[in-house]
Amino acid sequence: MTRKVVAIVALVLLFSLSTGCWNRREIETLGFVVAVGVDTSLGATHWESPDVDGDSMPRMQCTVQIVKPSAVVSGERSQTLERPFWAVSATGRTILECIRNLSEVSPRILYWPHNRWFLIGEEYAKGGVTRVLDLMERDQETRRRTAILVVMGGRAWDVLQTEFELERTPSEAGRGIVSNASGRFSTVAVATVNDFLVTLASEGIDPVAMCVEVIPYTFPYEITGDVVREGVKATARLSGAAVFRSDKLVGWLDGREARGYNWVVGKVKSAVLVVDAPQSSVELDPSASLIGLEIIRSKGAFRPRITDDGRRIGMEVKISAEANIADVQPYIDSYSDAELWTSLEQRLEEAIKSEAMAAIRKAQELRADIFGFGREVYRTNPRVWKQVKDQWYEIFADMEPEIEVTAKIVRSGLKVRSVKLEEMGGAGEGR
Amino acid sequence: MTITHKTTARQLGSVLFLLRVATMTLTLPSVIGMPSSQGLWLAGIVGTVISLPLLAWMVTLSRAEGLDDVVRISRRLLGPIGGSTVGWLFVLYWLILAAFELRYISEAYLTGTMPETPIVVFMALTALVSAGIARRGIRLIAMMAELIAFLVLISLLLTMVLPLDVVRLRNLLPVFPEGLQPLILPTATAVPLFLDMVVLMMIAPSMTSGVGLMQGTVWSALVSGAVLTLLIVVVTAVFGPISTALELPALSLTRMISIGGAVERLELITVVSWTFGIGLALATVLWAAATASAHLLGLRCFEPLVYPLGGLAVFLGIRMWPDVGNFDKSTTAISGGLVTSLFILAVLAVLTAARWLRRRAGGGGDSGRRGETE
Repeated sequence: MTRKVVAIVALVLLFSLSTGCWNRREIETLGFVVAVGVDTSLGATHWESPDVDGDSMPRMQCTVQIVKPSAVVSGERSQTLERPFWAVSATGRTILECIRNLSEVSPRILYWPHNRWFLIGEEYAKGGVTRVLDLMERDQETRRRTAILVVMGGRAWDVLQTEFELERTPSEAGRGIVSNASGRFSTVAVATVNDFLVTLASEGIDPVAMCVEVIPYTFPYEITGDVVREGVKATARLSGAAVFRSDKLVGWLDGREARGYNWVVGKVKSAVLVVDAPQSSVELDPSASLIGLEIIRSKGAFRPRITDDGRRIGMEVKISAEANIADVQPYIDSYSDAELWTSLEQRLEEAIKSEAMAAIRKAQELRADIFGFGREVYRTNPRVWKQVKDQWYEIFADMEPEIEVTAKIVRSGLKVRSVKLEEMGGAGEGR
Repeated sequence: MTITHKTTARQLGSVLFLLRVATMTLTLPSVIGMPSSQGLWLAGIVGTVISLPLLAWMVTLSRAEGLDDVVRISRRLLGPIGGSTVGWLFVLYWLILAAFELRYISEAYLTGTMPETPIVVFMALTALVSAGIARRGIRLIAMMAELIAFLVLISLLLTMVLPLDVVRLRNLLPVFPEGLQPLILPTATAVPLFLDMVVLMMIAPSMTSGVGLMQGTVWSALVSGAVLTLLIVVVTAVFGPISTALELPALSLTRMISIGGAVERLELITVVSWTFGIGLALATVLWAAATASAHLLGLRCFEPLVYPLGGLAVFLGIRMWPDVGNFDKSTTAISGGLVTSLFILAVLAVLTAARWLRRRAGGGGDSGRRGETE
């Protein structure tokens, strides 16, 4: 009898306690955040109450981009002209305070697991970013794989208003652009919050973040009539990298320099490098003298070269790449011209070396060791690192790295010979 | 209280594996708060190597005393008062361990998934379920452990393998930038967690043989040592210097998983390990505490003691650690770990010495309730 009573009480307790939890959230009460941006505050937004506590702490502005589920549904209803997201800002002294301030204007609870983008305005990034990144690590809803970007010459707020052709939500479009730009052209330095924080905590290396800029659409004409067109007023472009020294933004790498950075750290997946054609190939038309080489595989690594007394530290950078002949302007005959392959390989090696050197020179100029040359010294020679740690930026800035590039052209596509224009101007073989 | 079914070496190994490995799915006491991260994986290896002879010592003592349990061995070798004192100390130790496991899993649920839920809800429900299992005896626990250890092992392997794209083995270098000294604290923290396997001295009477007791113990120590080392390697390779600042490293690892950019954040893997692994480890400890208490109180059965002990563990779990900071520190060698090690090593030393003195005085070596069968 007692056992039955105990069992019934236990069951009642279990059923009553297991019906839900304190943290239950119904989907229709959630606002899915897909991007967040942080800027220096321009003053409280119009819906915010003025400071009542008289606090003079500098404020930050946090903007979140929330998906509007009703505007992104597929099918016929997708014809809606409603903007598929809502970008809204609030100010505060910490990022969490900003986010909680948003609860005064958002009818839905902000839900963070879908957030993929963390944008920082240039002005804010110059003052240091660690203070806003802690939340991304500490909170259980956020992702450590969230991409981190700095807005070149602008504010995160502006980027979070931009729209993209081909994709309804900016978050998805951005994902596609990062995938394309890093996987096909290698002109962005992809970085996540985790990468950034691990780099910040490591010795002898400074972090980089992706660089994004607003591209305004300025049409010289107006499209009118029955054809429905969404009014994309500005879009965004991802290229290059934001360079930090410690957690403060100190400068930028352009797309070519960012690829140079990727060569050195071994992150080039694919790229197209344009080189001058060998002299023998441009006899007929010197104006069409360029050859595009598509990188299909590459490796990059470096190791320090330290003299026995530990006073001189150099860096040996080794890069290897394989490429295909992908785009040819002049006439070439890869079938019978044996010299062509060697000649193109030399040109490719020079082009890669030039990009890598450009990135190193820029980092030296900014005095930010984004490659982790110092970290490599620390890893391989911790005792030497201990001695040089305090003067590292000077050593890094004066360093003359040796770059050794080995390039291999492996294929020439679906043809072995280009169209040869007749001297009389008639067409030769069809392309 | 008659045990009618025997526990196999594999089942014992599974029970001990869950006891040791369950905590790894939560915080990694050998990593959290340590001064540097690179060489910590060595603490896993050294900790296992140091623990193996200590565990073998426990097994040897049990076998020499006819596979009797530690309370009966203590009473026989140290007399009714000394033996009962040791017995009650073991009950207290297992009770604190149960409180610790309860607090551990509840804090993990709160920190990792549902921060607003009152902690007592998790603690009470876990204690209720685990006590329910414990009440059915070591046979059921052993059979469940045999199944669940495999599940936990697979989930841990997935946790380590799936974030492979973010593993940077260079984060493991240099191994000892500051010499060997930073290795002492993490190693000393790893050893007490292996010593929690002392519960094998309560399971011994249910074993099929002494050889099985040794096999199960050694294998569980080796496998859990390997898993501990690998986990530290992966955590350090992914998180570098910040790995020592992570509250729940295994959970953080699963948050890094991204399969094809589509399947992400598989925290479920870790939560499954928590629920099943800790649940069963807790059941084992509650069973040991209840069985030892029944012996000491001269009761014929331990079952009525399980739920009250579970309730006591909930109470202690809430009252003993005012905040997570204190709780985390209690797992390190400079705090709770040191007390655990000293207690268990002192008991082993006293029992071995008493046995040696008795033999020297002509009291006979095999004073156990039954002899080795193999």
